[in-house]
Amino acid sequence: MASTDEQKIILVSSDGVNIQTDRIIAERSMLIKNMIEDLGTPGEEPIPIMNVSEAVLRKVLEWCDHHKKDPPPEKDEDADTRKKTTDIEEWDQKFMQVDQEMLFEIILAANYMDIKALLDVGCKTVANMIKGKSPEEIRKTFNIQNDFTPEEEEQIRRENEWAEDR
Amino acid sequence: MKQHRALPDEILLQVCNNLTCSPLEDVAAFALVCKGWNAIAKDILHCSISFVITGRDRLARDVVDCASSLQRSSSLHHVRYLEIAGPGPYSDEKNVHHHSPGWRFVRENEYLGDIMDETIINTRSPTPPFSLELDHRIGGLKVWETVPESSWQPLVVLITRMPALSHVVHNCASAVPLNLVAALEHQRCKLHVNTLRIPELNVPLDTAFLTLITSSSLKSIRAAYFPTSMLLGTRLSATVELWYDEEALMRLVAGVIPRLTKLTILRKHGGILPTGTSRDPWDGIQVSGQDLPGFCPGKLKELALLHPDIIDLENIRAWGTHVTLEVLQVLKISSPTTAEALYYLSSEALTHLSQLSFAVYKKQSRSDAAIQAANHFLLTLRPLSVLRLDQNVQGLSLVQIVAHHATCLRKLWLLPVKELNSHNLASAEYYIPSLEVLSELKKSCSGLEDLAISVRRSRGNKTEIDAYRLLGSLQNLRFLSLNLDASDMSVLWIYETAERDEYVRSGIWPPPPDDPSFNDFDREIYPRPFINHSPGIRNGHIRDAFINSALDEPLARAIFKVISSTGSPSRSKLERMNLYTSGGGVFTTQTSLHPYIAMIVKELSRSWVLERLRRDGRRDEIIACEASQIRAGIPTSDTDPPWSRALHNPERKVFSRIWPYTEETEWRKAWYSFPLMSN
Repeated sequence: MASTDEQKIILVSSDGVNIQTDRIIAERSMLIKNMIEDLGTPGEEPIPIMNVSEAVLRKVLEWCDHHKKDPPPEKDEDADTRKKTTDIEEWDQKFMQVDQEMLFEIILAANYMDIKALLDVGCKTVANMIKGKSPEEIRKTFNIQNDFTPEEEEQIRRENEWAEDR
Repeated sequence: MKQHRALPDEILLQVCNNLTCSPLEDVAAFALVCKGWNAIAKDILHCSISFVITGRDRLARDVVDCASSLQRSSSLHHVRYLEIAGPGPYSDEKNVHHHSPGWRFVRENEYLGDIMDETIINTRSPTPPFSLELDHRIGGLKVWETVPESSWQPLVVLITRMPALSHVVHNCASAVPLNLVAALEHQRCKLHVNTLRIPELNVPLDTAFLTLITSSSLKSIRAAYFPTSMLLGTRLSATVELWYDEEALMRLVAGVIPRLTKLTILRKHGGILPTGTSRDPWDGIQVSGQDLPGFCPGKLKELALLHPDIIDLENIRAWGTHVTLEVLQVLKISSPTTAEALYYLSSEALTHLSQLSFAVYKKQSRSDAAIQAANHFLLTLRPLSVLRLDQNVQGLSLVQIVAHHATCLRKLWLLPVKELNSHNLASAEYYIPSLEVLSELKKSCSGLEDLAISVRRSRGNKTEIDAYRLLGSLQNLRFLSLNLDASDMSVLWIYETAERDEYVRSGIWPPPPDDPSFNDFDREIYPRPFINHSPGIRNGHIRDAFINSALDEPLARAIFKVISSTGSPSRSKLERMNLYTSGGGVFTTQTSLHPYIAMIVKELSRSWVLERLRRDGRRDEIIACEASQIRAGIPTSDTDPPWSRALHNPERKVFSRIWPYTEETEWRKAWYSFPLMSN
């Protein structure tokens, strides 16, 4: 019998395409890991990934393959209070150089498939697209409609004036 | 533009959280994008509130204003942190001369500890070693009075309307009221008291104190007390006794406060009584009909001993008895520590320690046992992620220490001993890490992100540039605080040797060192006696001191460029660099700087903050900003005494040869930094 690392499993994308991959790669996703454990027969049954299309799923698996040997994430309670950074390692930066639609799809897939590290990289990438920009520039970057009245906008600006001070 | 699937709120919140590592103006811009994003940003912008309380009526008005503001923006459920600062809700507020900003939103970490700790143990901060910022927050009044609970009631009611409140920081001179304690316990909210008054061991404990210290909410204590003499002239009479026993604090940690995780001592009194004579701590006092809890070593995660008194073996042993050192994660010691105490700490299993801030003290003699003990201590610990060393760092075996902690080190601060002080250099020593230390950092500290270090200025020559390049080759360095050391102890080296007394006795001195770059004027002996009974120094030495001290924006930018352009393209980008010079004109530790020389050095020694632009696509642009017109504590030219408006000889001769100027008072505008030498 093949060791866990060598086992193959089949994922089915939302558009019905079967994708074979190594179990060790797929198990970067906690969703898949839990499903495999629940099913108890890895490789025998295809695993449906309902919300993720083939193109996005292949991209996500590319990331999982590159990071398959990463240590598990830390779970200490102080993790959230430590200094946050938006540094992204070089490979991940290149990986995230995709159009905005694909970037959002990867983030949504990472969220759905429960791949915390990929979700982090995605969120940092979006944060880096926001930094240093004015509200109008952010709206333009993400194609967002300004739904404030001028009075509402002025009110919020006043409320948050303190945050502008360094 | 094509419309794509929107990100759900919980992901947008994570994006917004990532913006908090830069100035909050990015979050403020995020909030102005649209209504949906504004609602998300409130979780950050409205999560932390500060009340500065100066009186009962004012507090009641502020609470109404705060509540209506939070209600209007639907933010009551976003508030997670609350600071209570100021003198307190006294009824006679008109007698309290204190300007109050009332309530306001603040950054979540503005008052929660670390920033204040940095202030306390920063060598640039003045003594006494209590946080001036904290003192300011308390209101500058050295009073600890209890005011009626009813005065606090409006705030207590507001707190009960904040379901997500998780931390309350009491920076208030007035004692924590019991109705507040009860409300916080009900909400399972953590309480951090920075103004707790600890009664002496032989003073009966009152109910309010007992209720507070046995509260399950109390998580951290900061003990900063003033001697009675400092109370004179304040609202309370000098009969109010603010001394306390250190042993009382230990007793609190060991069993009385059930969930205390952090203890900071900024000033203490009393000490450990000789063995066998110790009193029973608060003997006979009962808590809710029960005796005080039995002795049980505290499980502090952080212990900060930042008081000015010596920590000796007896003291540290007592702490070792009262605290389970094994679980300690953060240890800060800025008090002088004896060699025996350090050996004791070395022998203890500090298995969870990951952050250490440690001041190295030594006596005048070169082979000081305390330095050896400090080396032993630092080399015995498990690898740390944060290491901050100051005072006599130069005596340590830094190459070995860096190598020992390399695998985990994320933040390393090696701070120079003293700021340049024109009045007293007698005990000053300057620390320049050798290129070997920088090489070791490069070789083994791949995870280092934050570094504070000194580099010797040498007119921007190759050696100096090599040091910058070594810094630039640190793979993950993102924050750098760089002290450019312009001192030159090689000039009066005789004074730094054991043979000094011999030369003084004989009166026969070797000539001061020469330099191939010196011309005839540079070689002349500087006419102003630098130190009694010495060979003197040359004009060229003063010239170099001036050149090495001069730090203008082009030089600051050039240094940033050298550092950030070295190393592989894949390395992390240097995000921010603080840059300043020190030590100009210092050739020996044995004398003070002449005021005229000090005046020029101070004018030239600017400090800069250089930051990379945050915006995507413009990350190579650097913003440079002068941290202070002239360094902290040094008067600006507007307030300089009249004698400092023009230069005087012999300094003028040296200065004008470097930077010619015509008008008497224009010397301050004439100087510029010499550029770094090209290869």
